[in-house]
Amino acid sequence: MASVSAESISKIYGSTRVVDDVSLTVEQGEFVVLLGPSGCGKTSTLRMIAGFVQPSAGRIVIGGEDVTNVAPRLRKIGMVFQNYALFPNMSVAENIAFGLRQQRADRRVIQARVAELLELIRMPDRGASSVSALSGGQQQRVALARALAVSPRVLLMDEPLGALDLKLREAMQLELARIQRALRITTILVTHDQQEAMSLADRIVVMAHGRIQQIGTPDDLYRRPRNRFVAEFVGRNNILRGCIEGAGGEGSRLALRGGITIPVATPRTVASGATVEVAIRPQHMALCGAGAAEGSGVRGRIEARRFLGTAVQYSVRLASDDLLLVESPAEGDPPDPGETVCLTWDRHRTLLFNAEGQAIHDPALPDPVLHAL
Amino acid sequence: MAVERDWNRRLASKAILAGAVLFLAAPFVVVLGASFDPATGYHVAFPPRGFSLASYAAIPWKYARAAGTSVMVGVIVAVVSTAIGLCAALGLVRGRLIGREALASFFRMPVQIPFVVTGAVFLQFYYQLASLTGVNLLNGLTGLIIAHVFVAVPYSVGAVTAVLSRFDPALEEAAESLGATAWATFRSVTLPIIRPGVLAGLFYAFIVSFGDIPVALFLAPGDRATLPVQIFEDMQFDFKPSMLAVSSLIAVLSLAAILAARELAGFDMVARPAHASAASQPSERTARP
Amino acid sequence: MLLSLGLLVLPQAAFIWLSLHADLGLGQISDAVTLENYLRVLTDPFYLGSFWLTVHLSAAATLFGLLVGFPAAYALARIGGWIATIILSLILTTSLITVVVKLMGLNIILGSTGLINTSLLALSITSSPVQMINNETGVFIGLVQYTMPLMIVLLFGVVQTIPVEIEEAAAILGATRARTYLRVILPNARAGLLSSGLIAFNMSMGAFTSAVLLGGGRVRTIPVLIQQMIIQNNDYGKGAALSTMLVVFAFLLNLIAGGLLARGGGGQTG
Repeated sequence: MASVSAESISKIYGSTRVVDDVSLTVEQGEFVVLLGPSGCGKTSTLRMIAGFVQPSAGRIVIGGEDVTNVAPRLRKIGMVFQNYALFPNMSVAENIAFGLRQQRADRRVIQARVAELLELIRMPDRGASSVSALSGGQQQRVALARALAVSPRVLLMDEPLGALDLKLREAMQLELARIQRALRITTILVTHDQQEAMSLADRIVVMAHGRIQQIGTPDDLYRRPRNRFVAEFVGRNNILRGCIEGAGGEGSRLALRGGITIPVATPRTVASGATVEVAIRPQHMALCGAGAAEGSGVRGRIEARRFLGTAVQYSVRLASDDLLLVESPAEGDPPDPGETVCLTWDRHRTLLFNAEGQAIHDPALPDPVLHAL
Repeated sequence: MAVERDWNRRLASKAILAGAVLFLAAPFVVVLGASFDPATGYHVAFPPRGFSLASYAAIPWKYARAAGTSVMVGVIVAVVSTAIGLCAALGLVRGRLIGREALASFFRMPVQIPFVVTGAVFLQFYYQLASLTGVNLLNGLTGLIIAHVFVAVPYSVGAVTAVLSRFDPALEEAAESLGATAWATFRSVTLPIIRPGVLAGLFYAFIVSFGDIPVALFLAPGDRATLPVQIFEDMQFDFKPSMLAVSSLIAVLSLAAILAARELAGFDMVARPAHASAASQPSERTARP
Repeated sequence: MLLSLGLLVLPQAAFIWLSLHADLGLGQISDAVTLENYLRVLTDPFYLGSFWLTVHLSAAATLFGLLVGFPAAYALARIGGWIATIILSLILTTSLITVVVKLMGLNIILGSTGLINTSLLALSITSSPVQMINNETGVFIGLVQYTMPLMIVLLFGVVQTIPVEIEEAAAILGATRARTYLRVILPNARAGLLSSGLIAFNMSMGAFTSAVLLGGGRVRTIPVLIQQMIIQNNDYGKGAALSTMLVVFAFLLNLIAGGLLARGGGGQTG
């Protein structure tokens, strides 16, 4: 077990900065997930830590040792690849034993270790199977066992669950979490699936355009996104852009297109006339009849309705032409598409971003995290 | 869609297919049949008038000797050109080489040159070499082997490339992340997986060498004719029924070898042409007269 | 990596080196009259006739091969499954066995006392044997035999890329089988037909053994002439000039066809 640090690493291909000045530290035993859309540089970052990609600048440190120029095979890492990369010419047991073979370990030691790992992945009887005879989930577990067999200092996983269907993916998330917790191994996982990141990670690193957008616990990212990108990528958010009217503070309003305004709570630092964006999560909004007080919400017309089981999701078009998603509990008699409704929300659960998309915080306002609790 | 599977559909095309297969198989059937005719003279009879192994018993020693020469040359050519082909394919598929496309087409170039021309060019070259350095490659089989390697390399490259381009590079990274050295990775992961391609390369290179006539006609020393050349010359000047017997043996043994290669090596001769580029098709030149 | 790069370039370098030496050899033998050799070859009606003979025999064999090979490959691709695999393997095998065996069989079938002539005479269709070998007909048949297996294998790959659904779509839209074939299948196979035809044509242009054994020395195509010039006449100058002509012709043809293919945007090269 060891900690891992990337110190200002960059990767430049031609004129594209695939990874741009990324720094992060993963503590010993910590589970960190690199999250971002495809092409955001998360896989390149992982491959630089693994040693398959040489950073254009910066250092990689594993367990206090600078490994920037150390070959992957000498880094004592375990890696699970996107499509598992199991050796098709070897059995399950041979795959798991491969790393130990390279260390010229004793045959009995190898056998015992393979048995132990087959036990860990709950496939004790499948050692002799050919890897092509396994299901996707089983292949995934064998790939994990193979990576863990050499007792690596760090476990790296590149979209390990991407090839599995939804049900299996959820089951494997639990399995991964169980094994990681049992072994307390430093783990870095790459995914584009925010639900997966939220359920697995101690901390999440959100990346976009080769840069780190935010590092934080799942809760942090959800409640206190540092910028608009994170707000939209982690969980869903409705974003409304407009101009601040009136004095700052509790009584401000945001002017949207079409001459309509909505109530916002702004810090005093935001001047009247400033362009800002407000983010409101769908489940923080409530629907009420069209006649409700105009001042505390906004009116809109329901364009579509979707039942999500416990909740109902509405697409509501405002007079400003903005389309908002609203989720409310499925109870009573839900309004139909075409009806005009009024939307209300708690002003203190909204997030505010400046024109550049950076979060605006105001120490004078109640902490949104505490408030939500 | 039961109708779609109906044998009555596309009858015209199927009739043409049947005709083509018959047309292509007929020469072999005739040679095999005629080889069992009891005649001993110059007359060839098909269908045979009886069954006799007389023509087989009459096979002269020179054919066995020629067969030995052909097999020896073929094996050496197969090994050398596949070794070159393997390295070249690794470079072509893996290497981030500048102008990889150009190199690939460069590699296919020998395929575009008629065998007669290749034979003539090498003959010229060996004469030159002999007059400059005194080393005469035409005395033994070395000259022929070098020329055959030259024409066989594109097929070896094609066969290995076809398999290698489907090889997932993540497998090598996986081995490397598990502590394997470059050599251990190649030996225990890469090579076993691309083995069908390597075997196919060996097979095709051997077929190219074994089937060739024009190049060997130019380059094989008079007393070391290859089997096809020996038959080729005797067919023009000295036909005997024993040649039918030799040809039948070649056909049957080739068929057996092809079937065995398919079974043992597990490479699919048929699937390849559909995927690989046309110009690198091994079969394309294997029977070039 | 460097090693494989070296080995990659080596055969090519050797080839260029060899071809340069071949040209030097030509120069040495006839010294200053190198160009004259080309001129003689290019102006002598005998060589031009031989060239024309080679081209038109190759073109005829290619055309015939496509006419037969495409429907055959089409039927094979649509039959599919293991039956198609077996038939295709059989077809391919006929081209893997050394060509002398095949030519010996053809001699037996086509000869004046061969299978076809005996049948024709027995049925009184002709009164005297039809000459089918030792002339252009024989060489034509030999070239078809030589090129057709590969042609079918390549075209099989081409037809496989044409989904059967588009035929079904055409049928639902009211097209007859013939119309579907002409207006839907063939246009989609155009690039594949062109590239397969080109390969067959190249093979035919360079075919030596078929031309010798079925032409009986009387059908002098360019490859036959090259061999005769060098081995029998020791006329390396003319042999080399003819070789160069043949290669340059094939190269130019490939270049033009490549351009056509690229312009047609044909993805199916078989």
